[in-house]
Amino acid sequence: MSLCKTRLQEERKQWRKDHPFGFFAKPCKAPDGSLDLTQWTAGIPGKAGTLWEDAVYPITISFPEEYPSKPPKVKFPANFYHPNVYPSGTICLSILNEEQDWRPAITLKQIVLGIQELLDTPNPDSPAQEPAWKAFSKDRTMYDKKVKEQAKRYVNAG
Amino acid sequence: MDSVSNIENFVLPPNVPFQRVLTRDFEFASSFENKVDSDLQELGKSILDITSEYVNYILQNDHLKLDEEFIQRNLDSFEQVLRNRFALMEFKDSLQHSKDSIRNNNMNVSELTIEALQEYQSSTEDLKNFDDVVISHYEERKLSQTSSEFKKFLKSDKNYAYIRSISFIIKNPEDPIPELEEDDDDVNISGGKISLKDPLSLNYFVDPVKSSVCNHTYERAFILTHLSSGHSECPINGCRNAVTRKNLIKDDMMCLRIQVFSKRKTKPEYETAERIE
Repeated sequence: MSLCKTRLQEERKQWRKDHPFGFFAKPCKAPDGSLDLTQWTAGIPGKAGTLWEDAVYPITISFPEEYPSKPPKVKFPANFYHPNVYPSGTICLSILNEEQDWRPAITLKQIVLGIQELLDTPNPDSPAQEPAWKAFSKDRTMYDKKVKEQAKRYVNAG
Repeated sequence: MDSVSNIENFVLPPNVPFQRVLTRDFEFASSFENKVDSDLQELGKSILDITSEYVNYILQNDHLKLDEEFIQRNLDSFEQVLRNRFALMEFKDSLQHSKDSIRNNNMNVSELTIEALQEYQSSTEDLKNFDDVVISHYEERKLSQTSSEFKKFLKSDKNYAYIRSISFIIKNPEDPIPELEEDDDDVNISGGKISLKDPLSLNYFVDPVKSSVCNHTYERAFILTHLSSGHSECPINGCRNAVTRKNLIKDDMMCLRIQVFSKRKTKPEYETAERIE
């Protein structure tokens, strides 16, 4: 069995056994009904006490063939409001960047926790979209309002 | 003639530099040193060989189990050998010191003749005999020869560390090997566990290899997959070292951990490898 498949099966096993509170992550179903371990959907809860609280933000995670040598591609929905998220939804985070801090030993759990951390602590040095970045650096009231509006759209129904 | 008339009251002076005799004794002592040292080294080597042969044999035969007591006895014997070698070093040191000190003292002393006898009788203040010098140096050494000095010596011995690791792993397959404390016998087990899982596949190791550069361990097949995909950095987060095929060596200690771990009757559920510091 390939390294990618072996690893993903183990990631799934470990996630089912134990994962951080409020998160979810599961592989998608292929058209034939079987599980496609290379495509996952997951939910990142906003941390309590932050602008992002009381909502779970959906992400998709695609694992390339060369995973874990290469990092997975992680995306929020298109036009997600955050300074470090590209208009396409792709997340700009150093641990997800092959040229930067990605390492094969980084687990799914560490990835989702890293993304949760990024929500409320954007990195102003790597802007990925105009609106959120501009508001974050110049008009904090506006930024807060937009983030809260977005949170309402992803209110945690559960 | 004076001295001759005194012969009835002849007393040897308290200091008698029998240089010739001393030289012979020292030579004898040195030849014996080397013999003892090589005997001890040979003994140590045979304990080491027996231990590693035994461990390798068990590792190749999955149905066998390592005998804790046997390893412990070998460790104790090996320590005893090192203790003797340490004592021998101390002895050599004492001897050399005594030799130097007698040589210095005798520099200004004329040979002991009937004529010089009175000179000897009158001035004995700074002169010492062979045994005095050896004893005084030995006493000095004894004061400074604390167990910490021996621990330092133990710590510097790679083979001792090897047997000690085996002995520790048999009892604690998931714990890091504690440092040998120099001044304390307490075993300090520092927090974390050693992951018995490959960082690439997250599965338990089967054929673990480690990088001789950064000492991180990987599953052989998977690190080779990683390297052949054009990556050369160590897969462990935060590690900036490059890994190359020729730096990979079989990780015997990890093999041992896996073997001991898998033989445990109750396998404690194993936490997800935490690798982000």
